[in-house]
Amino acid sequence: MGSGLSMNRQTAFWALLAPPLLFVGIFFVVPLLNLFWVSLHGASSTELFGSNLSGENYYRILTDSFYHTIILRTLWAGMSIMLLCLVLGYATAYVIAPLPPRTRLIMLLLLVAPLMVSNVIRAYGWIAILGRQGVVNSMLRSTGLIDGPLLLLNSFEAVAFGLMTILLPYMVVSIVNALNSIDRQYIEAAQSLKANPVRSFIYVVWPLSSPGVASGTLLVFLLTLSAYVTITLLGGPRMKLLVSLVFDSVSGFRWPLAAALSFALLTLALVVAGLILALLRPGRVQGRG
Amino acid sequence: MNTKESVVRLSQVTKRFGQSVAVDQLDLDIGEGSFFSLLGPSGCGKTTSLRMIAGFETPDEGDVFIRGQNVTRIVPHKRDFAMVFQNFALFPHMSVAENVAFGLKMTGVGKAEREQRALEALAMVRLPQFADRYPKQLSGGQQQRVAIARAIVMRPAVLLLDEPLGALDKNLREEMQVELRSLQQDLGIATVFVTHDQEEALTLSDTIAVMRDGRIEQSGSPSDVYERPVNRFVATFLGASNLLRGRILGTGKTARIDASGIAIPLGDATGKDGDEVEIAIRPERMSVQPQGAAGVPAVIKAIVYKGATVSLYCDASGEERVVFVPGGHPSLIGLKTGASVVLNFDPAHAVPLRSE
Repeated sequence: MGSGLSMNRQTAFWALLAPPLLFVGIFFVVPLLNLFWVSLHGASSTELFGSNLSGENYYRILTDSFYHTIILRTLWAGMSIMLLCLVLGYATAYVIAPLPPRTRLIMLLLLVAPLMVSNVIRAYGWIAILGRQGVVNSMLRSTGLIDGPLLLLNSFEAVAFGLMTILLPYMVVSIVNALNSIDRQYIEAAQSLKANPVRSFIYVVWPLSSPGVASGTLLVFLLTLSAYVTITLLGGPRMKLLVSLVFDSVSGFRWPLAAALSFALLTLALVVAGLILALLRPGRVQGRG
Repeated sequence: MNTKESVVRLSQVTKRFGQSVAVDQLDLDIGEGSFFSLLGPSGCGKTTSLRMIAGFETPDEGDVFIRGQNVTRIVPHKRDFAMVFQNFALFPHMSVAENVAFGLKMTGVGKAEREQRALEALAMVRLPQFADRYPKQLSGGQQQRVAIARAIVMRPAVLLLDEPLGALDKNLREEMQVELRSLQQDLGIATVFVTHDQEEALTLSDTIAVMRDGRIEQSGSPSDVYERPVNRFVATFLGASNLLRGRILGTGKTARIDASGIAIPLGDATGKDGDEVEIAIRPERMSVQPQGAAGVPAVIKAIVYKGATVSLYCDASGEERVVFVPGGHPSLIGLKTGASVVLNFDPAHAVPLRSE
């Protein structure tokens, strides 16, 4: 009877797991391996990729200073947007988390509402606001504060600004959930052990909220890496990031290079994700140290 | 008790939550080294009272003193207390040693000294070998001990215990009661213990305060409160009681019990001739006699064997009466459900209750 039950459990386990595993295997792992195969070839003018195996694409990425600049800029953009979102998002979450459930829900819905607008529309919205003839410039000019238009678009700041409005809600929602799952008794225990509010935050609240901080920062960083539309529309030709290079290579029919750049992007994502997890150690909340 | 210096004092403390009064003009005085229990049903205000000593709640009226200092408006982390929480509240991301040393770290004790003192505290609760474990790796009883170690390592003026044994199973709870009591006596630390478990309160306390609706109904030593309950609430909440009706006789010094005609001394209770009075008798103070003896006639409805004791549930003219007889007692021989018996008691054990 017992073994029959566990057999049923096993069957159920695999029955539930098999479809998504199969899906991910066929539509993600296999194409990824294929992409890697492509990246190991030279370009071809007639085929998708050349016939000879070569590491020239990776060699180029690793040695050409142009790619170094772009990779560092990507890293810098991802990190700074992530940190800005963390600071602003944590502060917002800290205010929202203790609200009564209904108010909290309304606040979170308001926060998420802008995400219902497509990224493309939102980016054009920012262009309308920040462009040469945009709302900001015309207002500043009409007040006589400036003579010529400010160049607000096509800059790192414009990209960061545009991305943060999309990504901040992810951070806030993650952290609100983490803060709400902290038992009040832990904070009272810290107080009873003579921790002032700052120290009780540093030693108790912050570490216990680390799962939310980890998921929030991961989301923001990874979404920044792949936010092609916002980067292109607000960053223009001067603010290219890795994802823009992938697109440029694809449109230039240099598929193997595009594939290699994709793996550079993937490596970047994995390394930073690993660093975030190593730094925040969200598992410690479960008592694994 | 009054001769000792008071460690914690609550003076006319009132706390309201919205419309309801959680604590109502409460006065408390907890002496040096005393184990003080706040006992009562849920919602009686015992936890709120404890939390006001800690500073997690602020009284609407009245003052809280710790070692003579008025701390009513002082934040918790500046008050001289330590607390063991209901679910222990051990920090999951810190090892046992880090948990115990946390308070010392916050008060600026150096690393070497706090590690030393944390180990000493862990030794006191017999867990020194678990210093490097994490709370999740410990059993409930071990977590409980770590929580106690984390509190006593602070050498606080007062130790606050918020139903700390509630999360443990019965055997462990009894074991921890004994340990907690001997630890508290060794350290001589004033302790306020909140519980709804009357047995725990009786076992551990120097003083029990029975609370209801934000007020203290009675306080005193466990035997005082158990043997001489002042009113019906205390008589029935703390242990079981048989409640009999009686009437005060002429002089106001004695009362006669309606059902049996036995006269009992009134003691401190007062009243005038003919007043009704309720009288409590503990089940273990009643005895079962054969039919024909003096006392209240009754019929046995149920006999419940509990090993050390046997509970007899009897019907005396429509009123349920409970008698606890030691297991194997001669008076049990031949008793069966349905048997007619006579219930009796020594008038000295009858307690006239104050009407509420």
